Amino acid sequence: MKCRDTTFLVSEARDRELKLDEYQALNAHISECPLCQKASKQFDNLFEYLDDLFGKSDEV
Amino acid sequence: MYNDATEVTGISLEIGQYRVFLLRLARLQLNNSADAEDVVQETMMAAISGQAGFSGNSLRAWLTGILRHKIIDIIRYHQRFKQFEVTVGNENFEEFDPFFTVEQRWQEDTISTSLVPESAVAHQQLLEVIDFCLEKLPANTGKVFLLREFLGLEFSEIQQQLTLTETNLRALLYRARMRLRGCVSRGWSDC
Repeated sequence: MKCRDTTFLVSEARDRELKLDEYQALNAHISECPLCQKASKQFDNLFEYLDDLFGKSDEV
Repeated sequence: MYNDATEVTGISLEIGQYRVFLLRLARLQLNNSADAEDVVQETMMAAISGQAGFSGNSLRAWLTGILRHKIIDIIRYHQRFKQFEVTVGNENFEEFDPFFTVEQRWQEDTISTSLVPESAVAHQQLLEVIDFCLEKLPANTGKVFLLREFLGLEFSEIQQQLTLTETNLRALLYRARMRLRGCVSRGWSDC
């Protein structure tokens, strides 16, 4: 798996549960790739911002 | 008795302070600004008359939730899906080629020079930046992204109403998220 491939899975993980092999391949790559660690932190931040903005993180 | 009345007025005033935020949010989702005005008006009225339902947590989140449901109603029952008709782009995603090396590794400077903002940006500013960033996507892509991310509609409904395949929709969401990641990493500026 290449960095670019991980970005598709990171996006899809927001919409559906990844299959086990996808999840494992993604984690295997990210754990060894400092650039992807930063990128996935940035995606996480983005998703947190969106949830907060749209009132989904603290909705009752 | 008197204290109760004062408190109710206080919340109503506070609700009013979110009007601009809600209107901006509604306009981000809906192309028709009369629809946006109406839906915010209804949201404010519903909130003021139904404030007993407010749990006391986040007033903004509560109002945003009411707005979300009202926008979904408008889109579903007043047949507003047509406004989101979107041109399906190709799935090569060449526009992101500059992010990666020929080996499809991240370019160092796409990732490593960017900062991860620690402090929360004011919500209204955040909306403006997201608006600006989504505007750079092909027409209506941002609005379809919001059907999913803001309104939380299921893939099946979006696909059916907009005649998109699952692959089309995934590609569209991917584009929007890739672009917005850049916004976050540049500290929500210069998107």
